[in-house]
Amino acid sequence: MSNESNDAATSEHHERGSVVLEEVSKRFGKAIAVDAINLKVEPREFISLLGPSGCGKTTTLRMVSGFEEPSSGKLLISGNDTKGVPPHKRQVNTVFQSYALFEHMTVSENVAFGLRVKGVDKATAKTKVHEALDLVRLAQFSDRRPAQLSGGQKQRVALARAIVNEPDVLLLDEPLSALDLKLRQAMRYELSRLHQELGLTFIFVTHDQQEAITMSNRIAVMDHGQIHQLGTPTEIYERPASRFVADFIGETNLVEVTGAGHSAGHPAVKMSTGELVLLGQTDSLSTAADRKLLLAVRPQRVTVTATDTAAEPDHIAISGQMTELLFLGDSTRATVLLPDGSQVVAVRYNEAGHHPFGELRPGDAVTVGWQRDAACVIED
Amino acid sequence: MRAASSAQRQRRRIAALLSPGLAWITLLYVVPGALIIIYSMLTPRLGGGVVWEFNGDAWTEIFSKGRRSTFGWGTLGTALLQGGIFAGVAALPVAGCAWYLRRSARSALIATTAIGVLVALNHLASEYNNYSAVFTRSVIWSLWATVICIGLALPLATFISSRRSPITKNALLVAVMIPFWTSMLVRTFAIRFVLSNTGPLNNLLESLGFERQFFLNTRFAVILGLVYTALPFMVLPLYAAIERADRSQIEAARDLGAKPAQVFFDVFVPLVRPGLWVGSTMVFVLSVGQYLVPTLLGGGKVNMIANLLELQFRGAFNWPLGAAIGTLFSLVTIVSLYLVLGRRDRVELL
Repeated sequence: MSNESNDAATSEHHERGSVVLEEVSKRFGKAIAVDAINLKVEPREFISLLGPSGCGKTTTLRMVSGFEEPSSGKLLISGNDTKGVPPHKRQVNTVFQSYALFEHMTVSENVAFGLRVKGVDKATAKTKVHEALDLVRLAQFSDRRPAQLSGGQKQRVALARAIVNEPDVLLLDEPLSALDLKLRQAMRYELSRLHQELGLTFIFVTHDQQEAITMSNRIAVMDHGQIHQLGTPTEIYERPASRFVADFIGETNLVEVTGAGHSAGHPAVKMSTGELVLLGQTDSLSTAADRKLLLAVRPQRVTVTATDTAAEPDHIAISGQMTELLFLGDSTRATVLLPDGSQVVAVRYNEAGHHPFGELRPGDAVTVGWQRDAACVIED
Repeated sequence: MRAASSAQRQRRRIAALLSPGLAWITLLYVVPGALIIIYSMLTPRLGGGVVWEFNGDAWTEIFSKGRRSTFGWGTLGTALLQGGIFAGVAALPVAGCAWYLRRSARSALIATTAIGVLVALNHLASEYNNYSAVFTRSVIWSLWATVICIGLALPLATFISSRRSPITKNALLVAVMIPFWTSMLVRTFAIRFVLSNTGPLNNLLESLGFERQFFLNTRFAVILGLVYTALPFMVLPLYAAIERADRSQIEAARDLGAKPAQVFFDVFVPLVRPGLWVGSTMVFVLSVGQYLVPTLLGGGKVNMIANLLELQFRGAFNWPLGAAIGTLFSLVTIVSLYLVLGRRDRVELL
């Protein structure tokens, strides 16, 4: 960054790009949009706020950008308290969901806006605008008006307009939600590349778990104004901390079980039919007797075999009945009804030449199973 | 032979539907308009009316130098001097604004030059003859009314639009329109009373320890009346424009570091510009042709074009001259309307 501002001198240099929320709440009248959340975003991190609409993720973002003032709590950007600092004085820039491009300006005027209002001299601004447009691969569109651009191009102009200011933190408010599927997937890689090239902190708000998982260093899963789980995509995916997270991130089998202490050196849970299920993890939740828990297994980890197949070691085996077999194109999905009335779904990729579930058909008696390590328990 | 094709029938049906409107326009606009143009080229008859005999005096009179006018090289010098002084005085504040808004020095130069040229042109026109003086005065007073209306309507429309409840919004909009329901004559007389030497405004001034002022029959009173009459025509289109403006662009500007004044001029004004054009056109056209306001609040002097027209038709009984002034006036209005609203992006708003 060529222009180290005065802020850097007053705050710790290594904190530049960090965002810290301490017990931050936001109330609109009686409604609580954000409920005392704590979050520490590291410099140069790509963090996603993931959750359904109304979960408080956008409000959190708007408090960072300065459009909403926290009702209580403390919010620090690059180590500086933001209390009372208006949006135009914060070293953060936003990529808006609706792009919010200035319709009366050309692409390059849009990108130059932030520099112009700050009084950056014309020659410098021109070079920077050119660089930013190159970065998003839009250099040849600089004289067009936003109305003449496609959705994906507008999106990239919005990105260029934000990053040209070299903010400490880049905020992205569901920037891909208005794009069609193909473009959305392409933009994910584009954003990851930009994040690596720019070395900025990215705070990315989305309701799309796929986006969050593919791009983020860490994900904060939010609901009802609270952060349910904060962790790397792998942690969130493999070890969801609550029913909400497990449900929200991908598809998961959730079976209601009760704790059953330990068995054969493994934590164990009991299904309602009395069948004992061993777990691989020793660091997961306590499986103290009679504790109500949820057993979570990803459909990709579930095997479905004919009942007479010999059980593998370290493998759970529960008998049931296949009720449905669904061809999904790239994969096939089988639903199995367990004796306790719960359903377990298994998904297998289709391979050329043979059916992923062999000769099994709905109505057949089957054995479902999974590697002990593949399952985890969640507090119900 | 078969009856007319469906396309032909369709066309006939459209013609049938349009004909009452077309007849109305022909009878009330085209015919009187043509008559006015013809009258302007006939001979005046003593005591009113015209003699059907070609006469170019009216047009010669309008465009020739006034009989008592001292218009000449000296006037040009004074005009240039005046323009220069105004531009010089305006230069510093204009440059200050440009710097604060981070606009280029060129835009400040253009604005300063424009101010100077307008002042010089105004001086030339007011010295040329009586008619050009009345025309420029009408235009300038109407421009003042337009600018003041913008200044009043922008915050008002923004305020109304920012209300959350639709009921409040509607109530405020109705409040803006209520004066329409009162006779304009009554309203204007009411302003006369307010401004009069013994009226509430002067009473207030006196109770505050100031001297009583002559408000009535001044330029101030006329412009006040014009603003009062035309304000709703600025508020309503502006309100519509603000309602449909994309608020996220304003947030984007703030996010990108624009100061409030920069957000206002660089993003908000362009966003509501269509509304500003429509409102300004309505206010200007309404004001420049005003008769009642300059007559009742301007003290019966020849203040604006409408007073001049009345004088020719009812005082001097020179109908051709009145018709010529009217023709020129309509021409000026139509041309300026075309220049302002002729662009497609502005027409769409009407």
